[in-house]
Amino acid sequence: MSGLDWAVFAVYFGGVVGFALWQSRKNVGVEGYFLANRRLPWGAIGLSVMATQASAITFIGTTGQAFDDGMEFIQVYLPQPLVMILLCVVFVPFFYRAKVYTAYEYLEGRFDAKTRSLTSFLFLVSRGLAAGIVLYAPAIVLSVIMGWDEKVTILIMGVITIAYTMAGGITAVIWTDVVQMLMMFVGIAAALVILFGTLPPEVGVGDVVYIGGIQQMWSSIDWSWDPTNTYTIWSGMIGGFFLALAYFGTDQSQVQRYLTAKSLRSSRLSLIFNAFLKLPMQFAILSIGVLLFVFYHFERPPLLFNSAEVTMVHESERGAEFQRLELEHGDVHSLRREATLELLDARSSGDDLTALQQRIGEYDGQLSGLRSDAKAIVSDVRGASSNDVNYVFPSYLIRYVPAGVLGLMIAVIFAAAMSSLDSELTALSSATVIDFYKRYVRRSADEAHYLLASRIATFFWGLFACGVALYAGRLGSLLEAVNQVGSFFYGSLLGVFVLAFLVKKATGDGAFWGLLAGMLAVFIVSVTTDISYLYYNVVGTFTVLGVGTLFSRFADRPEAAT
Amino acid sequence: MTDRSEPDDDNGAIGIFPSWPWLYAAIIVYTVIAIVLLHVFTVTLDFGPR
Repeated sequence: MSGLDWAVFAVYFGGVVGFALWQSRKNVGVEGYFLANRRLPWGAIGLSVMATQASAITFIGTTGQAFDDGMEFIQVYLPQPLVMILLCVVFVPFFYRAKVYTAYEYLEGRFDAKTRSLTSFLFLVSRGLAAGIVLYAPAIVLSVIMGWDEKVTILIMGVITIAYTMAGGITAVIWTDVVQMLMMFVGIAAALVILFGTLPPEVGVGDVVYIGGIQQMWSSIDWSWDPTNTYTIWSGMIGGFFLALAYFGTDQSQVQRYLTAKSLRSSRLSLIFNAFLKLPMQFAILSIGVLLFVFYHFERPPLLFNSAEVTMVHESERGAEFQRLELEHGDVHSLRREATLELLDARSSGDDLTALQQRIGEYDGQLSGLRSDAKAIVSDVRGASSNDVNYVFPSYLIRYVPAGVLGLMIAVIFAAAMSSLDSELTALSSATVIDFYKRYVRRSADEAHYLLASRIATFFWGLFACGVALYAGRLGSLLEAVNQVGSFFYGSLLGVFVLAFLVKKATGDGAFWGLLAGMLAVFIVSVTTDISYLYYNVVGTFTVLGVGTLFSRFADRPEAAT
Repeated sequence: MTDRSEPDDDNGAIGIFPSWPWLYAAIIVYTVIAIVLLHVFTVTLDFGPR
């Protein structure tokens, strides 16, 4: 990075942290620290909700995914507007009127202490580890692309985030999220403009659409019923619906955001804001990936973008095989470039395009096949699957983006990571202090004591996230397992809350055993079937509802025995 | 814990929408339009070799 890039980077972070701390000056007590004294405007909360969901990996991984597979990932986001309606009608009123600090606190009033503690504990375990991954994933990418030490990257992001979160609490978090989300919008727009700018001058918008269409990269909807196909309209609208409902309706990192609103109306509006903006934003991020795909028709891409993985394979016994793939990839790319330029000429002169389309389609297929073969070799050598998709966009940035803008784009990646981490830290500390410390350790103490405990909890979880991130590289496949385990919890947690809201006769024991049965059912389904992971949430929710209702009705009726 | 309704939240216009049900209906229409548009995208922007 140039001096100008560093200047952009420094001004951005200095400004964001200063602005956030200034905004948090009116906070009072624990309610101020965790809920901003319930006074924040809905627009700020809405942007914070979006920023919390959009981590750095959303920004850099999703573009890479679209580079490989096109726009199909958008199907996961399609039910999100509908989820927001259900949240506004059912979930938000229950949480808001109960005047709780955490989503799980509501469950003690509705069920009992053990259900509250178990759900909060599951949240702490899964979110605590996820917070480490939120830091680690962009740090490892930036270390490979920029040549930075990953430990330094983790510590810069971690220390700044811990500092402003400890100092300003949720107010600082939400206002930094606002700036960071606006930065992401600017970054997405800048990336689209720069990508168009780096295409050959004779390539117009119509040509870009056409070239992407030859490999069906714009294909967004898959109507097939195959439940083992990860991304279809059905897995998106059904599995994605339950996933989004679980995330926005039961995850403290999201629930805490809309509890900071000054009224129920503001809480709802913050989610409605998300309902309208999320889809266009995700469409734009995925479009960057498709534009990269088109861009690399004219510029030669590496076979794989993760240079660390490439070096590792070159030094292994399969290095010669990998080099052969690289040579073949270069040859096929040259042929595709030639055919693409011919196609553009033919389009402008009105000639028949069928033969050229077929040639380009065949080359696209060959290049995609070579990339898959290369990833398979990496997986074999590494002993873990290749994560090359995360390197496609950063690799483009470092090679083709001008000075100044590069600093902005790297700041956006940092911002995306930090805006997710800060939300997780406040959510983790609120669950720790409210659901455990205040509930079991010190039931009555003054505000200053709980405020200090809250700051210490934030510091602890920040250190924990940094620790997980620093050692994540050594965890290997365990890291992937942690990610998968998270999907075991979500549907079952949602089931408990739906049981609480909709089944009046449900009891605490019914919810508790239903939750355990739900997680067991998801585990069994995951190891015995190949269905898309998006359906796990449906299985978990309905198992909890079924078992919880039956248990409450038949097994948990002490009055029936008397 | 209270479960009282808050009339100021449930009544009144929300921007250009006369009430919450109208706003929710607009979101449903928005989602349907998004799916239709993406389907049109999928069909019309497929220039793959046949």
